[in-house]
Amino acid sequence: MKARKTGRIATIVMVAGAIWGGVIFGINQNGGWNAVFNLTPAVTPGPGPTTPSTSGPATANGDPVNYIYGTIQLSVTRSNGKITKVGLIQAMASAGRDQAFPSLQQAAISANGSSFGNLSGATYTTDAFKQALDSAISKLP
Amino acid sequence: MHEFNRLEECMGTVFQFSGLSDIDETKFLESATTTLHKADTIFSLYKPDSPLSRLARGETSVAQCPGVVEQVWELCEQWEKTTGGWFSAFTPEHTFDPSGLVKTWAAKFAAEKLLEAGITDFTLNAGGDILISDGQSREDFWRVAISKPVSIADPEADVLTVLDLAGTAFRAVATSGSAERGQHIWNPKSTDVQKDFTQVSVIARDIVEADVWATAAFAEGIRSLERINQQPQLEALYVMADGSLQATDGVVALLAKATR
Repeated sequence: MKARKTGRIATIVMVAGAIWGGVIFGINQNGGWNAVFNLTPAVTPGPGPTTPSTSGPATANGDPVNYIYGTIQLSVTRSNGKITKVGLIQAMASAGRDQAFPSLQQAAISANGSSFGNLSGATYTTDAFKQALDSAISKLP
Repeated sequence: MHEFNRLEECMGTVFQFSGLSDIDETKFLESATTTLHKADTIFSLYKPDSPLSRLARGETSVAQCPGVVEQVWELCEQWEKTTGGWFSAFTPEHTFDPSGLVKTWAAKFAAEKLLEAGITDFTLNAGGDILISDGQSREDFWRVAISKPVSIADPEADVLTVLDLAGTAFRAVATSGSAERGQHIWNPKSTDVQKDFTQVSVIARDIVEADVWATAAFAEGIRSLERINQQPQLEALYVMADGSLQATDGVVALLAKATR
């Protein structure tokens, strides 16, 4: 049960991280997305280098989180008190959990062990996107 | 070279441009996102005053609509033929609803704005449908994860598998499913709703092609697998109702090699 719970948390982070493209993005200059998603209050400083919120950019890496298929790690950059960048710095999954799967299933699970830049899924609503993003942010260490 | 990223809320979803550029991309991204919003203004059936809404209510004719409406109409007719009638922009109520195509049609135009400006190294995620430019250089961005058939806002949200399109002719992945918006695809041939599978991802050379085939496959059910198998440079991965997977012949070769 314990492993399952950790898995859920991490996978939310992983999927939301994937939507951002797997690598760091900047919230747009006028702070629109930052405001829309209300990023700042949800985040508490995590481990790693941090500096006072009024200074220049500071980046913190979340702890790698183990989950059912592997590990996940996010980085967050804060500048002038606002979260300006979020990156997926590690998203690895363990391959081949169950050898009994037929070959397509088996191959698909093995492929799950790759990092990736984009996520394809049924067209998500803006609300679902915001929810996924909020979950990810609130789950940061 | 610097990295750029731009999120744009449009058509009820989120578009993300992500890439590398050696010129200031700001104004070209503006032009690209303007293209998306223009398409939304014309084709939205959620906006009561849009030309398409007025057309659906019989208040105007195609000839009186902006020229792109006729272009999209003709494009929809072509795709209806190509897919054996399984993609249709004509609703059971006999109105014109090209929603199954407009998002990616507009995305393709938006991508062209960047290409014309000489920005050739990027991907565009159009609310879950992916376009990769020919000049895309970042290794990770050739790898496209497929979501499990649950909403991204669901606690069970997770990655189903990962495709690696590097070194192939494929430049697009589109996914249709009931996870985010329920049963939103109508069956153009009967009132039945297919229950064979919950999600289909189509891999193609072109994002509109991928989107159209994903919509058509979702309407037709699992018999679409053979239809897609017969098309050149077109693959599909299905998540069946029982959670098992089915796929066209070329999919296994596209699955990413585990990086660990």
